[in-house]
Amino acid sequence: MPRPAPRHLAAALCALLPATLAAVGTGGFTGRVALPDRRDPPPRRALAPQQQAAFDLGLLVFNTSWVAAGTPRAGRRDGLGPLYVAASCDTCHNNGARGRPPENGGLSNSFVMQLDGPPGMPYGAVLNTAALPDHSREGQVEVNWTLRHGHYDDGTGWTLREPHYALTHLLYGPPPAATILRPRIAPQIYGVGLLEAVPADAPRAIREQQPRAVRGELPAGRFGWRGEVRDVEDQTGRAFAREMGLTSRPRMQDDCTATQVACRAAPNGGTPEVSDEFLQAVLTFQRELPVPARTVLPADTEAAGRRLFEQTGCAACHVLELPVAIDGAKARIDAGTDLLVHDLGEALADHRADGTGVPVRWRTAPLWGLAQALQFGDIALLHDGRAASVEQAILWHGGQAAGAQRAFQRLSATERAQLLRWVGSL
Amino acid sequence: MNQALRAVACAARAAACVLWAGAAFGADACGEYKWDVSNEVRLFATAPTPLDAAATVQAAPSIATGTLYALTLQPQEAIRYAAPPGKKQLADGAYGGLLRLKVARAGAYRVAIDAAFWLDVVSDGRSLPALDFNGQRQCAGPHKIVVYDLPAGVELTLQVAAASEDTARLTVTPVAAPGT
Repeated sequence: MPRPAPRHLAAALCALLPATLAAVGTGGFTGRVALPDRRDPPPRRALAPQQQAAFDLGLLVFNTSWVAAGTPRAGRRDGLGPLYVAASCDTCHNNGARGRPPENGGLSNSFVMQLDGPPGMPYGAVLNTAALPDHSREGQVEVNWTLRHGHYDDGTGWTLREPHYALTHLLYGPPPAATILRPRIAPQIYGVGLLEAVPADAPRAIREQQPRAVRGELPAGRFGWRGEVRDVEDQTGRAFAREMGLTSRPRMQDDCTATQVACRAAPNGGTPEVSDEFLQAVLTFQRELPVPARTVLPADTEAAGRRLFEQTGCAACHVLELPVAIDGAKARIDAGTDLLVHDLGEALADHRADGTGVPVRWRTAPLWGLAQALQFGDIALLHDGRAASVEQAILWHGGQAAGAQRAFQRLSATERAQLLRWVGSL
Repeated sequence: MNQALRAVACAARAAACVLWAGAAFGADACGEYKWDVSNEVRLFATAPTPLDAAATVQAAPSIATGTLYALTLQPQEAIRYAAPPGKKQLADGAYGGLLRLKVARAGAYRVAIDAAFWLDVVSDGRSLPALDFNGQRQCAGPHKIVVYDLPAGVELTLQVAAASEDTARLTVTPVAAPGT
């Protein structure tokens, strides 16, 4: 049986939705909205007054910097830390966008080093690089960059910058050698409600259609760089607890470990510190946040770019049409992901504290929102923001994506430019 | 082996590694700004001029460029801003205030602050767009710097919002040259 072309995949996938839902529209994709002022985004659809109020409150909560427990007059937003990485959601996910690139050869302000260590390790799930007065931060992350050089088949040279991370000023000394260091940059928030609304059968159906060489695996969850996070609420609870030191209903413990007696004994800002009202508001805000509109390209540029995207094999995993089911209605999104995890090769592996590599299966990163990211200047792509352009991100792909990466390298300069312009319009 | 040598050796052998050093953070993070901020660092090392930020535009005190101010801020709920703060945030327990500013020469100016709060420069009821910003919370002087293109001879209102504490230090300095 012939394999369906990618552009027909969405129609096939939508057939998986319950028959009671309305037919899939043949028009545009849902969830895309022009954002003239990123600081004050509208919801992606008209909301009932109560939902709109929750969205508006959620924006406030998302932007607000939290303060130490007991801060006068700050009862609704106190409880920060005492160990933390950032004081607000917006610090890392600025205006809902992906993390900012590193500056001056250092680390991005939207960066966190996750630690995956054995039980009893003195550090928690992240290296807390900030602390309230009277507490000590756990350490610092430093990065050195080296350059990798190569050339396309047409002889044009390319350069990648490779990060080398070091943990310094560690409060409890080095973590156990087996601890896995997972450098991560903040992903964008745009469209997470729509990704959540993709029916569970859709990634499975995509997987069955993928060629064996690139076939992904079904992850445990839908979010997180490794697909390890169940849903938006799970992700939000983790971020509050680990990056901000705030308890909320999904996570009633912050990142203090048994070793950190002072951290555990510090005053709290309530139980939980993020009220249920605030939690629901910030969940509504994230779920209803739209995806910035695409850049409109001339028809021939659009056609050429998409053709190259499919021809090189990028579209096998960065699937361009997914079905969603929202309030009983069907729609389509153009997220550019299969919601599956793939091996992308050793070059993108995480590493243990002793420097040994740890293979990682990465969830296919959605491509939507790239147009806006490029519009606002520098971008930081891949799990730790090492790629300063779409081109660099493609060149880092290996493992199951090595074939697509090689196909990209075989393109002419004109074709590469067409493909990059198209991806940059998403 | 000192820390620098260990860092080089460590980075040379692996893509990720762990160093251990004493508890103090030695390097001055002010050098991590994407511009040269030596002028701001020098100003933040001087004795500040105390100043009460106002709750209304009419009562706002004037500030000058090239001076470090130690501001006393007001509870935010008491402030009548000239324009809504550009970033919507909860005002619970927040502090803010209003200042006046007029520059003789049009051009790019940097507003530097030593705490986390939101800044707006308002002209005739409208917020001016920021040209750029950068932050280094580990810097012993300015933690955040925002760049604005200011018109000459125009009465401007500098708005502070969403501060966590009721004091802050602030400077306004002309940008010496494009890109610096």
